[in-house]
Amino acid sequence: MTTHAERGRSTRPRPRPRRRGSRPVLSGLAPLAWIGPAIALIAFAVLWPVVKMAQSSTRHWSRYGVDLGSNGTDNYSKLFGEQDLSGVLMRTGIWVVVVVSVTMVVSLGVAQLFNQRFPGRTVARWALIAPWAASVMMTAIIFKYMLYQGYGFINILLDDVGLVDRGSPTADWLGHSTSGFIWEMAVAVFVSIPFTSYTVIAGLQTVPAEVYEAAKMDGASKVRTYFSVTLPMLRPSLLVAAVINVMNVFNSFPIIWEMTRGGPGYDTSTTTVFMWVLKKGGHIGESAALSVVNFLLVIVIVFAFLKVSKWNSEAD
Amino acid sequence: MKRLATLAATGLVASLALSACSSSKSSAGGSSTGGNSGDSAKPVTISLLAPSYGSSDKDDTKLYWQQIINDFQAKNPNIKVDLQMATWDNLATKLTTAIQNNDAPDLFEGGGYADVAAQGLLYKASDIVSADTLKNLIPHVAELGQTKGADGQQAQYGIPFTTSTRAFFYNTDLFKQAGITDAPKTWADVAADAAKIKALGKTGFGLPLGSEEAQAETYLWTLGNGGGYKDASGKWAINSPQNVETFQWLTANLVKPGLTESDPATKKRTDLWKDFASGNIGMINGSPALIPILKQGTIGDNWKSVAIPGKTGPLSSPLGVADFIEAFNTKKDHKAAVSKFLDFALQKQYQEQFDNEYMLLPATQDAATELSTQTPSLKPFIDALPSAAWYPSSDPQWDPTSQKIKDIVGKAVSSDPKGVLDQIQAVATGS
Repeated sequence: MTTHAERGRSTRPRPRPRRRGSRPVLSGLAPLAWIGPAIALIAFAVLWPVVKMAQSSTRHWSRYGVDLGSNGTDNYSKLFGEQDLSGVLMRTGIWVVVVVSVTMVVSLGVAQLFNQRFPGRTVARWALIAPWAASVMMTAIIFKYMLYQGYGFINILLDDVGLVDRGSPTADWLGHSTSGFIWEMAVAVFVSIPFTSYTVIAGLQTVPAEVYEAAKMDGASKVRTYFSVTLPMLRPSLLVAAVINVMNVFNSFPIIWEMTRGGPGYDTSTTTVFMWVLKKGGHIGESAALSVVNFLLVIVIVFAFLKVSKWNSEAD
Repeated sequence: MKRLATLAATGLVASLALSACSSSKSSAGGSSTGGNSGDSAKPVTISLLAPSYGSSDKDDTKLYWQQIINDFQAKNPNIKVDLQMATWDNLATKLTTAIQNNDAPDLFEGGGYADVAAQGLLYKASDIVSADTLKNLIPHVAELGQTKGADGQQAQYGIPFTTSTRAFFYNTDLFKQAGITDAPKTWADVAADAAKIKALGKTGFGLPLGSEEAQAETYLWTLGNGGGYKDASGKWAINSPQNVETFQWLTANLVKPGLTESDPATKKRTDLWKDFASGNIGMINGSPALIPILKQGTIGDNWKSVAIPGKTGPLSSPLGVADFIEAFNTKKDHKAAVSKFLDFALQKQYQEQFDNEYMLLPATQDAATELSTQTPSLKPFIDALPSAAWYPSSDPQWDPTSQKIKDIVGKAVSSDPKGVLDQIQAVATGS
């Protein structure tokens, strides 16, 4: 079994590195011409904003964005003193874990289905792109309309099959924090599935037919083949899909904002939404502090996630 | 390890790209400078941000302003007015974001001014409108526009544009069907009548405590219990026992028994007004601005408006709401043009046109006098203006407080009201 890395490696011997000293300083700088733009881009588009973000979280901002001087860690202590913060953090955790894991599981199934040959597969694959291609905000607004109490499409449907009385308080899905949040998670899953499925489909197509043949020869059942052959070979694409989903979902703003504005109160806000709420209320410094916290959280989560998956791959 | 690093780097870049998307624009500065060089009278473009008072395309306030602007531009070809509209729901956010991005509009029509005045961002009324216009403002409403500026001096910064008073509206048709003969006078009446209307399969009372205008609904109910936003000595008293009791009563007698729409914490005023206009709600608090909506709705003439019920009897002083114009001083070279436009827009004919269209009340004396005779239905409201109770809008803390009320007060009817009101009080007192 070959891995991507081995397959991609060229078999030709590498050119020998130039001896140092023959052409001194200038030639040492020569690679800079190639990597320079990349370094500049990273410095400008990645490092500079990070520095700026961290800086602004230590300043005292007026409600209207006038810098009133240094503020030390005041913004942070105010932020951690917010009564609603613990709820917001917890909700963010639930949001990321539930949305990403449901997305991954559903996408595995969807990808398997779309990898089969069936008439109209091309059309179906195009259709799968739709929720991805549509503006997330638009999708969220449409779901909000469909969930309107009394005359929303979903409520009419549920009423017709006799599950929910569409005029009842239960049908006011987005009015309660719990049901509102669950619907928002459902929409987040809905818009995450296309990308994830495509990543998995791409992964499935890299699995060579020979390994399936070999599995068949050995008499492995379909289930056994899936768990012992397909899934392990999908690991790289699953890893990419999961990492990107974690960040995407963590930073997701439009779904929650359009559907419930993070309310009632702040009861459906995640950290990203709460950041905007703070800024809207004129607490710019606090909002900046939260964006630093948010940023660190993403990094920690992603690193922890990668560490765990790496540890797994070494174990087998 | 290599893959880990690559993935991590991808992650870093991607998360930054994402957070960059969510962060607001940097201070790009004035897009509307428009000053071409050379001409004798320099052309200039001033901007105006205003909310819509209408409920449909036909009565969008955009049309009202556009007409004034067209008339004005016809007379002043060198001045262009760039009109931006917002819904009440996002007006404050739009303004705050514009100011934070150092791109404040030259003129803003809408809510509070005290907070921005305290930052030194506004012209004094006397610096930006002519003495004649200033004299013509209704004196006690103009007084409401006073606050402390950045120089620590009390002065008028808010220029009143329109006023209104609130009243209690009810659907006479539903009342008849439910066998109710008299309009409710006390809270207990409201609850009893709401229960009878609920029995008809309709919503008893519309209680909009969502983010649009919760500060009005809150004020109307707390005033009915001798509460309000400030106590007699002028100190913030949002978590006063009277206010806590008000929300406890609302929870126990209207919300829990299901006599309001479901989840008042997430419902907007405009939506409920429309629901009332289509006959689905029995009672609701409204301003004269509700009247044009009712004319368009199926309710027809089957409604009446009376004084707002309090705990033991109707409110003696109606809640008055004044909307102010603020003139931002961030683009100094626009001052002359802004000044000219304001004097033009505050003329009698435009004030009257606005009030006749939306059934709101004027802010200038000549319009008030003429409307009192021309539109008799407005006379009692105009006469009541001097005794009205107003928002504490000259306090710079009012803007953040009002925002906090919009954010969370709805939770006071689903969880512990004291805790919610404490949180708002903390914002008001800046602790």
